[in-house]
Amino acid sequence: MLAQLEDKPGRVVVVDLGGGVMTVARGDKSEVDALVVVVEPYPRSAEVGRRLLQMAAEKGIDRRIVVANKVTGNDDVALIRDLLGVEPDLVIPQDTSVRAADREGASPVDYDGASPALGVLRDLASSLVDA
Amino acid sequence: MTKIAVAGKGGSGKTTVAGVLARLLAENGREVLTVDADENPNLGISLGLGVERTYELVSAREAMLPDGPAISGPMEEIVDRFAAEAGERLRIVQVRKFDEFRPG
Repeated sequence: MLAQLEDKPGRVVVVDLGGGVMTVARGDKSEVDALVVVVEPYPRSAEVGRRLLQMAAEKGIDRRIVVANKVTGNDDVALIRDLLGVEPDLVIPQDTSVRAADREGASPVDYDGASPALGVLRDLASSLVDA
Repeated sequence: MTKIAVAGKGGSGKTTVAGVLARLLAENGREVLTVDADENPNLGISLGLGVERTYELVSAREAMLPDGPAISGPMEEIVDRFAAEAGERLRIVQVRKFDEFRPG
């Protein structure tokens, strides 16, 4: 589908893929310019992340961004680094306001625009479109 | 045009990352089309549509059953027809039923 969209200058398409690896396995390089891989600091999540990164590399998706999410400290970052074999590009701290927004069915942007997680995601947004 | 896919294990927070990212890009002046391709389509909530409106989107998608009339035409027209406004410069479309469509 994404490859069939008109190439409108300035437009950004953000796709929330299904959980797991199959959606990337079915896609190809022409479909995306960047793949953001979100990983929690525990082995099963990291394993999915590792396979996603491997698949994306095999498909020629050069821009692969690893986001370590729900991180509580340096040990979590080290765990993800060890399991993935790469350093996370961004680290989102465990953020109570994100959890609270989720509980209330709200966007974290509306719930607390100054939350630490949003600060990191602002950096990600800037890096993705300015590069 | 920049196409960004967000992936990860279910529960990793990828939908929140995708939704917040889209909101921030739109607030920075970009025209953003979000595509919810998840089996559990909750992207609308992370965009700020609210639970009820998000579930309405899902219901609309569910109404497009495979044995219903085939929808064909250029992909951009299909997106324009089924995408919902989610804010200024921000739209959302559920795509899993696009598997049943025939882009021309």
